[in-house]
Amino acid sequence: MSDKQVPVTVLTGYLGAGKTTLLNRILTEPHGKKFAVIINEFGSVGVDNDLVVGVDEEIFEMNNGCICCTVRGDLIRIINGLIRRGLDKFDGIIVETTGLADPAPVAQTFFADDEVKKATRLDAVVTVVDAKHIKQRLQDSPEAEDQIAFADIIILNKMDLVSVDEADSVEAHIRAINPYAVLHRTKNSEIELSKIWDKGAFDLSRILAIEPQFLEGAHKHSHDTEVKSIALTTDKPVIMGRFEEWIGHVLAEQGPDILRAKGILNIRNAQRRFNFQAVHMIADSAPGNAWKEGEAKTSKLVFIGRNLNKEILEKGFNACLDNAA
Amino acid sequence: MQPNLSAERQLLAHGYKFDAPVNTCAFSKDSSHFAFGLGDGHIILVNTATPEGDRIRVKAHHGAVPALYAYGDGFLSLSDDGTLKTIAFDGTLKDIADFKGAWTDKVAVHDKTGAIAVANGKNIHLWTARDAEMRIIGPHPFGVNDVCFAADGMGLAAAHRDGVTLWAWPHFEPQSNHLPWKGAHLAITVSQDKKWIVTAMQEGALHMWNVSLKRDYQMRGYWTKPTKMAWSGDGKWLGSSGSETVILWPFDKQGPEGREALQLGWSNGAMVSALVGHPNQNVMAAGFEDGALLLLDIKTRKAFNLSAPSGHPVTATAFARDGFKVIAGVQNGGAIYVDLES
Repeated sequence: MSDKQVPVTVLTGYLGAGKTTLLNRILTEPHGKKFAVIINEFGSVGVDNDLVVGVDEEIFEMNNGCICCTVRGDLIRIINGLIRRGLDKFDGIIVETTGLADPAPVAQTFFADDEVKKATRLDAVVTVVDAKHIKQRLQDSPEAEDQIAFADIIILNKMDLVSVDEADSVEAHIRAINPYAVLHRTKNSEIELSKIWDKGAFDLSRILAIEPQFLEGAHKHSHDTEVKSIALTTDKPVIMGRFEEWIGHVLAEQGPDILRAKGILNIRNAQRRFNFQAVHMIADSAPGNAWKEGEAKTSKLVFIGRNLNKEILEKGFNACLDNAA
Repeated sequence: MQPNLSAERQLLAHGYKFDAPVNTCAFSKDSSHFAFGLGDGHIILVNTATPEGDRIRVKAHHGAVPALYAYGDGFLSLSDDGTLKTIAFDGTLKDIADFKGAWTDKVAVHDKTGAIAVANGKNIHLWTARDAEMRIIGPHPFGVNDVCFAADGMGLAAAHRDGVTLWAWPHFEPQSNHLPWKGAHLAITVSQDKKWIVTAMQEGALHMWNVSLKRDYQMRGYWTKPTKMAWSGDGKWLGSSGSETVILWPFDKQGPEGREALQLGWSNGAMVSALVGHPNQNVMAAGFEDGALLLLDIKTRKAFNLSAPSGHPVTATAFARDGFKVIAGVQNGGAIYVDLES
């Protein structure tokens, strides 16, 4: 409609990683932007302190209770509350989740709820990581791993508490789970707003920029972590009908294991890029920027998740390609 | 009384522009006044005798106004800041309740008895003429997303995740009537004859229970989440949003099972965003996301344009009880009053 989609930043991170410090920084930095902040598991909003409410976490399961298709009812409600007040008052919305929250239903809400999708766009999932304690967390908490897997931007925080070697080791650990996120090293969550906000990080454009060698390097560390990523690349055009059928099948079969899937595709006979993304079984796609004159039309598809078999995925993806081209 | 829809003529319409989104609107019981609830907590009161004249603007709530109904000699408004108030025609406010810190956006009002039911977390807060004090009905297994009175006022239906719970006077025992269906039920309505209970669901479907036959049906295929439902004047059609036309299900005879829905009204492919049934005719008013407001005659299958697209979604619309007046509010703060008698 006439009203623009407001960018949403989802702020995740394990307890004590520095989320609240980051949030306070964002809110006090003199950037002239006005944010609606949704905190405390969507019970309260810091909009001129006019909406401070208590609600229970409400998970809405769709499609007969499928866990992969859950959205956050409390989040939908509170965003509807913001729409009633007029979203044009805000430059952005920041959603702070608790340390134990599963980021999937939060992210899925922005793909799967029609009202929310129309009024807002997910700009980025920002995960704050405690450099000192993350290795321990990764061993005892699947949520910590999921939060890293989901991230578009990772703030590797508390750098003052670790040595450079330790930091490098932690970063390699993170890269084994998620090589595609932009990573910033900070102490006391000190970072400029412009580095984490309105980046369109969720619109995938940067994933093409990641070098395959780098990925291979990162994979060397993946033996000690359950979540991994797989990237499929091709210069051959993708046949739309075949891709839709195949990806639909992959998501239906492996949705529970797929935390994030993203892709930029060169569709046969299309002038524009085709942007694709999914959280578990819920997928979203849209036409992207036009290919530039003389630009290599490389398609790339990335999966981050558990129990992923690269050979099988590659075989399936290759069957979607126009080999005659 | 049937509003004259067929004549080719210019209807008398008044436009308004407020400085906050219009969330809700309603006419008073005697059709003498109408009111708009705004996103900044203001209520605007207008006398239908002087629609172009002075209006009363009262700051009723701190939050937005997701629910506004005719009540007594005035209106009842619920804010998502947790406050429930009545507003007299002169703008006098009276506090009914303050659910401090609770998220409240759904209230049901029973017209004849004046009973009020507010969904608050897993409970329903109920005020009736019979009881001296407010009663708490619940808890339900999940948060109550919507609540509805039966037409005779003798029952209450609550929509929540994984189904519906029915409550009956006078004991409010949770009867053996939890109606289960997996998924989130967001809005609920009961047919005038109490035979049917219909919910609108998160996954773009209506779910319908025939209570007397103990059967239920899922009506799928909506383009988007249906959020608005409205009965026709004779109670034989249930209109619903969720598509670019109003989807009307027939509830005469055996109900909608195996029958086709009627599709009425269209505005350049915009989604239906507001819907209300005429009090006694088979007519509905439908607002669209492009700002159009249409009057739909179910009998003749015709649509009449009451307001051209403004580019901003219509958020609410209402008929006066006398059947001759329509109002609608728009997300950008616009509003319209149309006199169908003019």
